[in-house]
Amino acid sequence: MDQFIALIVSGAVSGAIYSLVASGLTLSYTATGIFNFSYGAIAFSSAYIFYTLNTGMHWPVWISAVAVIFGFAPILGIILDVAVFKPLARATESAKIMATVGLLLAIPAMTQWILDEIIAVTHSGVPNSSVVLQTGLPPGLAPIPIKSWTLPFHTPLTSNGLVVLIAAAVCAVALWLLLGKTSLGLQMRAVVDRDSLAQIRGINNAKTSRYAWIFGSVLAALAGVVGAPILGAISVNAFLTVTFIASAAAVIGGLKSIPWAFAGGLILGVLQSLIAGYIHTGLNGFSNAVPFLVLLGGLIFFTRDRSRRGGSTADEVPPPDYLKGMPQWRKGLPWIVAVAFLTVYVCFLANDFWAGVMAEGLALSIIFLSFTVVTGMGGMVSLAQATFCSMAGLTTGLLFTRYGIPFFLACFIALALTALIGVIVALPAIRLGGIPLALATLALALLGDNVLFQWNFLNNTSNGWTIPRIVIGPLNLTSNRVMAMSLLVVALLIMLLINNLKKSPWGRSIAAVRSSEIAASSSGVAPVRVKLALFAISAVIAGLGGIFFTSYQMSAGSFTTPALDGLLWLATVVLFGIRRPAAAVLAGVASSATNIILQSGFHWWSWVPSWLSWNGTTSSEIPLILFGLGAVGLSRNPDGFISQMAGQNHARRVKRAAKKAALAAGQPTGIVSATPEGVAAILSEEAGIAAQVVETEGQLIGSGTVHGGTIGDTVPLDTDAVLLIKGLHVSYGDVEVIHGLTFAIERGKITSLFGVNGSGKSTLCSTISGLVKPGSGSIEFDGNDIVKMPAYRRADQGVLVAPESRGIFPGLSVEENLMLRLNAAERDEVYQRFPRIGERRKLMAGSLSGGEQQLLALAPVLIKPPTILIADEPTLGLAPLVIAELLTLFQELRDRGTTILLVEEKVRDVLSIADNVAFIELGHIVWSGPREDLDDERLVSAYLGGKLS
Amino acid sequence: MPRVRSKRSWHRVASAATAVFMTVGVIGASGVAGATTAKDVGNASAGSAVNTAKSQKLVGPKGTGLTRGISSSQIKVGCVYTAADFAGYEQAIGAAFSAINAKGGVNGRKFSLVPCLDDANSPQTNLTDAQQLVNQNQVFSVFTLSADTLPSTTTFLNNNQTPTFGWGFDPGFCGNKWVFGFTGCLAPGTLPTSNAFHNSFSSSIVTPMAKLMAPLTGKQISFCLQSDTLPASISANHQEATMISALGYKVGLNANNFPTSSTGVNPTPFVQAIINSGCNITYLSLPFASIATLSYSLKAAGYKGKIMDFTTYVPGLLGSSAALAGALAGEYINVSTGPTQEGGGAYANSEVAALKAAGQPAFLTLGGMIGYSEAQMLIQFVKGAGKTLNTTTFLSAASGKVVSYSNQPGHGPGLINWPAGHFVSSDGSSTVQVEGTKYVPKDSYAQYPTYVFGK
Repeated sequence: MDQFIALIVSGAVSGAIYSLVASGLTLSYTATGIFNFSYGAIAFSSAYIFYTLNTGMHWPVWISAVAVIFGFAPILGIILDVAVFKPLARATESAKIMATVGLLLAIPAMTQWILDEIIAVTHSGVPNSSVVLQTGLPPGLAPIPIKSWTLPFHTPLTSNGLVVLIAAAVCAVALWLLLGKTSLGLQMRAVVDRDSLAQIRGINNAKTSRYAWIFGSVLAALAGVVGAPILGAISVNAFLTVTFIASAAAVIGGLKSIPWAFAGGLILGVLQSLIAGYIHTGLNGFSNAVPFLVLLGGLIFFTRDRSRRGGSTADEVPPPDYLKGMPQWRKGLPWIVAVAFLTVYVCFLANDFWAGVMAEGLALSIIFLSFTVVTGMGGMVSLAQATFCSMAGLTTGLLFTRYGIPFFLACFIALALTALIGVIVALPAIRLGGIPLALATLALALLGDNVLFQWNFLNNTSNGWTIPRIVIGPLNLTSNRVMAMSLLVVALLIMLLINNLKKSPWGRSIAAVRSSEIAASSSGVAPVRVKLALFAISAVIAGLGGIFFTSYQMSAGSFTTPALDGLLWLATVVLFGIRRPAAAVLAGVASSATNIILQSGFHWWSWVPSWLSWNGTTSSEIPLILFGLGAVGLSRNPDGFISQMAGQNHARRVKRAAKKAALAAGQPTGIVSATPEGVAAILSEEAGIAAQVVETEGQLIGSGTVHGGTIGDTVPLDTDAVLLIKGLHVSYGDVEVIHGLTFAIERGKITSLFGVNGSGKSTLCSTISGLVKPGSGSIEFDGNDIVKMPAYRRADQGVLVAPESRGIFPGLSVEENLMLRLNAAERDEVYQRFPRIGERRKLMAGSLSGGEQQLLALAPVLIKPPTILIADEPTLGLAPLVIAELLTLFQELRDRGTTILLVEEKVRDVLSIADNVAFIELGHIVWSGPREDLDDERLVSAYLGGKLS
Repeated sequence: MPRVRSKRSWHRVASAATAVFMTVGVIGASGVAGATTAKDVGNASAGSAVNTAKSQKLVGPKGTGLTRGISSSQIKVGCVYTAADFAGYEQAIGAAFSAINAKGGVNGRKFSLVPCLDDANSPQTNLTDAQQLVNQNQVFSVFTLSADTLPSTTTFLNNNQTPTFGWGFDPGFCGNKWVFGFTGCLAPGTLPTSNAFHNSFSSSIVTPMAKLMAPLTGKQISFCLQSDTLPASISANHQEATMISALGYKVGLNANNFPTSSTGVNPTPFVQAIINSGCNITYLSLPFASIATLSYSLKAAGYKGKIMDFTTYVPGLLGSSAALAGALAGEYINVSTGPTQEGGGAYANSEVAALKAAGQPAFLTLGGMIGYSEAQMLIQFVKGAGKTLNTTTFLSAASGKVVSYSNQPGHGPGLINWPAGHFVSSDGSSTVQVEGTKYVPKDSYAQYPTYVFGK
């Protein structure tokens, strides 16, 4: 019994550290969509700086703690938000992971490096990194010498342990108060629920994100400072392990609930402790594996996957192909040059050592190509690629060395087994996508490392196997040069394979499944089979690369490609470009070469001036810092830096060509296209649209549907316009949707804007709300151009947009929805006016009926009327009675002075209350004018082509 | 009914034929070419059931007169180690080299150390660093100090005629012609011939420990052995346990289950196991950080016996970390790498003097002692090779020779025979105890005889 209690208490102490990090992880993930792997690094750096201040510079404990937890951590959080996370918010999952992995590596390196430099320059004698990293038992907040108490049941508890428990309890309460009881917390939860809606409701999501990062950093810093004495050392690895276990706890909270994440951390700590104490399996590393089993189980059973399976929405738009329209040879040119250069270098210029570096790099390239398949093509982030390498390498070594099986057969069997492992890793992908899938693959990878590859039979009791360099006929792979060239050929073959795969029917199946599983399966594609097959292929490619890699090293062990390498590799490939096979090859060679270059420096021939030489650095920190900077750079262009380069080239080409073409055609030079043919195409398309619009106008007038009013994109001179839109051009990517629209919305009237799907109605609403930025034109609100104003400020200024599909937060309660805009007295007014809403005030808004949701969305508008309300398809999907109630509401608003723009596809209902009417077609206003100038009957037959429904 | 041979059945036949062809082809190709490895120059791969040599033979190529890293004025030496565990290693090697260079070097050649590479506890990095030192930096000799030296690494160095020096508890330091442990071969049982443990590693641990327990004797002394899961630790534990029983003491606990990646491990289960076994002396074979935590937890849980390890001797560190000094209070440390600075003596004093002369902090650390000794060995061998220095002359200097790694002839504590040192150990130790922020000598340095037991 004594042991039981003792184990629970000590387990709770470690668990409390996990809880702190898990809360930070959950908070920032829910607020920003970024799963921050680098929290471990922030904890490490905080512990490091605390040690330097407290032990090194002899600052008092409490001042050091405050400086780190409330000084360093928030500042770091803000810096990260500005430099990395904000630009990354809309990037793909793999780009986000890459950035946080880059930070994970760079932050500890920068901390050590910066402090070492300061210490060296100031000669202050403060211990530098080589001392700090060796420190056993770093001090925490508890006074030294460490006190220890014996609780009932002979349970020891140290003062540091007590500090951890208290810190965790305080944070738990603080978080609960913050999120549940403050307006900032409510705003954060609203942003998490529906980000774009929150913006147009006046919530500055940049602010909420920033606070999320600040609080997350503070939690991580606290975990670092109080956790270091418990962990026993200031070590990046220790905190990294803590981060992974905390991820398991966050998953127990469903990646959404902070209280559950907190509890999850404690549960995991206690569970680990009890298992270590009572269960003695023969399996090495079993107790280490427990958190990852929990992580995996939690992901599979508990996660409600909010992202679309197979990837996130951000993934769906492939990056622009900058070389579109260019001849084939031009597209291939950079890569042909690269291959030629590489061949010449390896065969003639490189010495044996550098040929070896290239060989190793090409082996890595083949491994990286496996990422292109599963993540670039399939959209599924896999962090288990290193596991495939280890599996293939170890199995080959085992079969070849212990059993004497011929090498090729051993490889074949190893790859078959690796494919099997690939299928196992793929199983979570059936149900999960996005970050949950990435975490699941990571959990499997860590299980592999801790259990499977610790099996003495497989890893030769930790010594590993010697893998030979083989001789195939005339090819003697003992020579680094021969090995490099052979690997180059293999890499090119695999690239070709992948390119063919993309264009094949199978490739189309993959793209379909990635886009929408449901649509794909209804078209006869089997998503499960596609995903499993994709992982299996990726595993085989990675395994092949792994065999080459271990053959180059001539050694295969459980340590050759540890699971964490998989994170680093993914980050590297994403940095170069995850979708392009050629980028993966370049990434492999570059990572191998860069390390060596950094260590050996540059030494030229004797006639080069000596200041161009550099002795290199054995500092392990510099490469990590550079990598981290790469991460930051990536956040600027999430498609990778090759794409960024391509983009810059493309932009230059476009500017040049567009200017030339436009001058030749005598047109204004704002048209975007790379070639004269492209310019001509755009011009003709615009002409076509203009012609269509003119025809419609003619129809409207000719049929007698309208008489008077204003034709086309013009504004009558005497209009008292609350909102004046002039010459608006809006595009999505390369496609222009609104082509120079001009429109005025008259003050104090209800204007209804009609148009069919695709006419640009919703785009116009989004542009007015500020969620979409126009290419050119102005939007004047009461005389001030608000085009540059961010969305959340427009709401405060009085421009309120009620978007399509109900402007409510389904994840917040009815009362909380109202709290975002109304105070208690105003809410009571709403409950009185709409008793149905009052009855349901504690329920989740998502559980209301469609009509009730729409009323909930518009109720605050009645209490605090904005200057102008723009409602996008307000009657969509509602019952007639509810529609009637809505229309009464609009009229009441109008009578109280609010200007209203109703954007609708269905004409009948809205027409009954409209003061002004306008028609939009193909991104132009076709006609606008007072309601009286419109003939209902003719409208139906001439314009709508049917009965007034 | 006419039988219609549909196109589909032809396809099936074709696919089957292809499959058969592929399978046959793979097996055939592997039979013909796959088994060919590159010219095999010797393979000391540990754990391979295929090799069962019947007699103790040194593995490795003969010297072929290579002069890689050797010029008329310089001998280039490379170095790879785990910086976090063995602070002071690089400085001590540098100090030893500075001292000999100040006297003009050996036969006009001065020793030049390439800045040490840190393998950060990664066996993979250790391997690639070693490859880089040989292939790119073109060093003559490699110094290494790491718990993660793979057989592949030592095989690589051995095959490339690169004299390699290190702490011999990894398998590669036994039986390889070009690999020298500074206290000989400490990794038992790796040589196919031996069921016997020709090894004094254990006696240099067990005997001093038993001495501490006086006046208790025999079965009154009960040992707890707690190690991590590294194979070297497990086999060392096994050795010690065997020796403890053979010498008439009691083994209260023999546990090899402390996780190797060991920060953040909850010590409670291990503490409980040790206390429940009732032993009165505990020997910890763990990474540095874990020892402090476990020692402290043992004492906090009421353990009254003695605690000993062989890792936490880091002069200067206790003064800078009060928490560490408190956690290790009363700990005994078995320092097997040479006489300690606190213990004094000619050898230790000369090491300290060399450090001072080289402008380094005058602390003789664990890593420093080892580095200095490795350097002394290299210097001795190079002296023996004479004016013409290449791999052939070096090897003949390193065979059939008694090398003392004291630089004061006749006063050295370290005496080791070669080539015997490739197979047996010549280990010694002294004991210090932590009192306050100081290491106080309790037992002076002595070499222990090779203890042969088993069959």
